[in-house]
Amino acid sequence: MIRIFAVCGMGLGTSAILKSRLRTALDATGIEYQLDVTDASAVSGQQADLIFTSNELAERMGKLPAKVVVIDNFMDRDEISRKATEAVASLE
Amino acid sequence: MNLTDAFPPGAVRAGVHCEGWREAVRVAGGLLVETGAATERYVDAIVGAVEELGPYIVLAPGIAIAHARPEDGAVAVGFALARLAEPVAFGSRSNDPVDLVFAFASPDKDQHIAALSTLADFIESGSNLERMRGARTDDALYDVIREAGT
Repeated sequence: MIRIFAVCGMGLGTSAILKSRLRTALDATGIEYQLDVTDASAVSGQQADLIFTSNELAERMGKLPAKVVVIDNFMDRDEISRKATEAVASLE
Repeated sequence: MNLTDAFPPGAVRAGVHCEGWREAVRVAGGLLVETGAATERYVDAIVGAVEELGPYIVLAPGIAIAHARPEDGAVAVGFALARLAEPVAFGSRSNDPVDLVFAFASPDKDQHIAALSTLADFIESGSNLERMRGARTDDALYDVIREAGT
């Protein structure tokens, strides 16, 4: 079971959009996962394997034990799907 | 979920002239205030959060979806759109400059999700973006959103 977070500034806008798009991509990999939404200030206290977020927020988070994946276009299912698949493969 | 339920008449403005991102956020947020979805404090909160967190509301090339937290002065679920006459920079490395500035408010963490995800699917379509960018009047812009929802 891997722990995944979708992270945005407030935890209720971007991350909600990202969560539904990530779910589709992650289901396709067949991996067992738990996916939650949080905001940038709360993520450092979480036990996470993968974190999906924007460029600017990734920089604010600094060094984390989790692998951080930067999404440029949160509307783009192809980008999200490709990066999610690569990130899951890199954990194995 | 129909987008016309989320965007009340009067929540959409085309050809807005702005000096920079703060003014653009204030115009889009101001439409939420005018349509009863949020208070002025909510608009201040969005500007303050972008100053603090960076351009977290810029989600796709040319597109911002401005929002703050429910407790920052949201009153009801509501969406708004300001289409800028000239794009402005938000400081987003991947997605500047921005000319479509959406805003939303929600009284809690759940009530806006259905509409937001419908909006995300709507924005994903290049032809919808093209039509929004080509709309010359508020009514024409509203029609693009109205027709997408039916």
